[in-house]
Amino acid sequence: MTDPRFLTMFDAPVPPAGLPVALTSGTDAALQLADGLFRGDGLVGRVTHPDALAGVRVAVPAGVRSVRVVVTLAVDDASPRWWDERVPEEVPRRRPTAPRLIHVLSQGESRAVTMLRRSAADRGRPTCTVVTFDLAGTELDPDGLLVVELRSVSDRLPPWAAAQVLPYSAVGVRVDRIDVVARPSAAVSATGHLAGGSLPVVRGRRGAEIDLRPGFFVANPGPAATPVWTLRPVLRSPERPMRYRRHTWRRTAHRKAARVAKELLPDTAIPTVRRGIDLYRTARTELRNRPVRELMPAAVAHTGTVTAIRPAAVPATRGAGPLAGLLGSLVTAGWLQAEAFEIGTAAAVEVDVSVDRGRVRIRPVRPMTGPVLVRVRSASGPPARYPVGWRLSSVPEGSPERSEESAR
Amino acid sequence: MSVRTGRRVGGVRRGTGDRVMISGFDGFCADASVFWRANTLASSESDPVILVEAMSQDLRVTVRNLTVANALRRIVPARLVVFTGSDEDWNDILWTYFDKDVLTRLARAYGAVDVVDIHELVDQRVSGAPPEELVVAGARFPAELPRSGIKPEVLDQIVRATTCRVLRVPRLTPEQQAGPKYRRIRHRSEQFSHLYDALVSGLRPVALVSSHVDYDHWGLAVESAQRLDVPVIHVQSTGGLKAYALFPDRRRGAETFRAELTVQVAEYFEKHVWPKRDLLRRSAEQVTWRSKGNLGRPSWWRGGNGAVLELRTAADRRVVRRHAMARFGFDPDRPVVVVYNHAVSDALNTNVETFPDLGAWFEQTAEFAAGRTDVSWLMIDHPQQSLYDTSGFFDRVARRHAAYRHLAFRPSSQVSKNVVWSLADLALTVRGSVSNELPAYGIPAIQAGWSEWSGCGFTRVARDVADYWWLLEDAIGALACGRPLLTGEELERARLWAWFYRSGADVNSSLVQHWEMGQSAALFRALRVAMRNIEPDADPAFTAVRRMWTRREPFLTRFDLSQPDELLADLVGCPGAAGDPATERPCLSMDPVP
Repeated sequence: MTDPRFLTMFDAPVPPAGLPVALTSGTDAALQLADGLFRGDGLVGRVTHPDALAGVRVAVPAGVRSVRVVVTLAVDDASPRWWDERVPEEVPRRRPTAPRLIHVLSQGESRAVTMLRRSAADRGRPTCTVVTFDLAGTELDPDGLLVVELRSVSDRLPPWAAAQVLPYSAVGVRVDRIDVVARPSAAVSATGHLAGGSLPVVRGRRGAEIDLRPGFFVANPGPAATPVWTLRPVLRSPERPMRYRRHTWRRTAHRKAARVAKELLPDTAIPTVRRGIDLYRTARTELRNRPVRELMPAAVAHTGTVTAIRPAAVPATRGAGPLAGLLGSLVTAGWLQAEAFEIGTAAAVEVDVSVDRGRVRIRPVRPMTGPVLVRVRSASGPPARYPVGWRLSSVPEGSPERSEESAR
Repeated sequence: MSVRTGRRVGGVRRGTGDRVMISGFDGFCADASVFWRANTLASSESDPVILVEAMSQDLRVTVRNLTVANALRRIVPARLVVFTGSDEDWNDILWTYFDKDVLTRLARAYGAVDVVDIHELVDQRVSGAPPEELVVAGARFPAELPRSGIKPEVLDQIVRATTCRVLRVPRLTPEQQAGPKYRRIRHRSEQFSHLYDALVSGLRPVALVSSHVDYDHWGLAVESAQRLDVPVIHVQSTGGLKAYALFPDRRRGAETFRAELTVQVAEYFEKHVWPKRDLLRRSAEQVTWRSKGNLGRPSWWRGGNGAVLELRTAADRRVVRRHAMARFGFDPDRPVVVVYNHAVSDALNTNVETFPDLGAWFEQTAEFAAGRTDVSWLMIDHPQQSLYDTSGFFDRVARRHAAYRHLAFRPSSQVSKNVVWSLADLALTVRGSVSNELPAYGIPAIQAGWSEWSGCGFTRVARDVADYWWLLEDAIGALACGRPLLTGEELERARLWAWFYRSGADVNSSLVQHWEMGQSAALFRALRVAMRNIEPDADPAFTAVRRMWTRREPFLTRFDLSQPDELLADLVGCPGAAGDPATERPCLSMDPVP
């Protein structure tokens, strides 16, 4: 191997950043390497190439045996333009809301695959994902850099995913911040990052939930060899900013209720899941009778004059009662299935599907070896864009839970 | 060596009817005309001429040529004769806004007594119409010109190189060699050579000033001038004012203009630059340091944030290398050889090349690489290949070796300097600028041909094909056993050449402005300000041309490198003798790195 000499007598030493590191700007001297990354002011940078590297000079004090690295990524209104200007002409164009799969590596090792998926109603604010991983002290050279690599993931995926995801997915992505904090123990393990396209949102007693925007999610290996992922079905509004009007909203909600029935219960299924039909009717009645206030969108994008709303999601049913039976029937009859594929090989990963108190629970049969894509589908065809959606509620320990407000 | 594609920038734009519109151009011409009349020796019809080429659309090129010629007219009373023009081939592959009228006005403003459209003359002669008598600068040339004295093999070579460039292919197939394009270029080249021979022998010019020395319309002028013992000044399209010069009485007998230059550059470097290394070290370090932000010399090849070197330490390189290895799917424990493909049709065989052509070198190196699994091979295409190849050469070679996992083929735009340099343990090129850049940072390079710096002692230059394979085998063996391939002296030589290229042989004159000013209204305003307001005494362009001309040196120099050390030390800001506190601090705002 060759041992180059990059330094000259004019290279001033770069003082490393001490722990905890909170890198929030591309102008920070500790950001030594910005490769395929356009340095930002107020953010670390924006990715300009399919693969990008950020190298931070970090001083790890003696006694610190491992560190936790938190990388905050985002896409915003400018991301599609950055993407469009930088990818080759021959790359097929996608809608700006196409999901982006991004492989996060550090110190040469894979750490997690995450996903960003913008929704039309996110206009005016960034859509974020936060990837957390731990590095053993031995992985950081005192003279070297802490390197975070973002790599575009778009090939070697199952065909349904390849058809949806954005190629050159990292291009245009914002690196908002990189945080490094000391951990007390030397033992590090994978954090089991889950990504559904945006940040988990804390919703009252339900705790943190990830909205599965594209209808699938990414699961990374974590402390548990065979983790359980819990999904809760929700009804969605069409994905476009809507002018809020009370009577319109009520009509839309009713139409949605009708659609969800069609979605979950194709005509041919009706005889086999008769009990489900009855429960569906119950659910519909309940929706119809519910006060409009409850059906209003969960969050309003702008304060002051209300011009746009987030894609609203309302529970398909209240509580566990009727829906548990409906889902149980669907799973038993094979109308509702879950499937998982390894990212990078597209090999199928065997999973168990069960229903428990209105939630679908998915668990890999064998220990995970790498990040997987998981989706729930009805046997009648590809997953619908709307109105049925899923929320992933098994946010593992260690993932940062952020309220909707702090995510902005 | 290469020709830059014109781009419309700043105040220059294409107007209606293919006219180039430059705001303030008329005013600039008026000022230039007054300035140069006052700042050149008066000449009469009995004085000899200087032949100046104006065949590039980029006015920065012609401004440089004319400035050098006029600096010469301060030493020798002479008249300017400018030759210009273009043809469909060059308009097709290179020019987007070539405007003969603008070039003519520029030439006249700089004092040209005659502007000859050499392409038009060739067109007339190949059209079969009876040629007319030609009058240039008062000299009469008969309608039937005598045949050029060019050697047939030299003409063949220039025709072949031009056809390759025009067709944008690495080499000619037998069909192409029998095709209409080849015949047309051959026919025209013969006429070019007759005309240039007639002009050079009839006018006996003091010198020929040309921005390029390759291909038909440039190369044949240079060939005639060299053969007929006229000094040739080759002005560069980069930096401030850079020019190489070959004087007949200094000839060493190398085959081509560029080969001759390589020999003379090496001699000069050995005699005037290397012995001054202690004085120049600080400057060389500074150039090397600044080069990290722009490692794409010549500057037009590539720039931006993919062309920055940010690695500092061996540990930095190790960690980025792990990521890079994974990206290319390389075995992380094996050394990596980086092969830099050339612009495959660029000025073929105009300097010594070990292989028959640039494409053959790349193909055979890839063949060799396929069989050598003990190292990984990163094959990088030239950043501007689309201007030089329409045959899909690189992709074809890549497809041929797609099965080999220890070979990766990538276009230059897809790989950053940081990533490539984290991997490169050895670089291969024929004459690419990487063979200066990489050794300056401690990475060895093998050259399968000559370049301006190939005699300066910091690369391994193959003598022939067998030697190339031997050098490659030896280097791979050295990488495997950890034997260093680059000595400290070689690294210092590479940094000194970087200094020489960017500073020592780059003259900073306000009469041309730096290339990076672009071809804009701002450029012409700056030139006008210089001509109207700066008194011309001791302008660096004038003193540098005088030094080169009177001493018969092979290039312009920013200052006299042969002057006593204490004067040199003043010029380069060398902080004095040992023990001087300033020596300890090479730059006031920075601490030296041990």
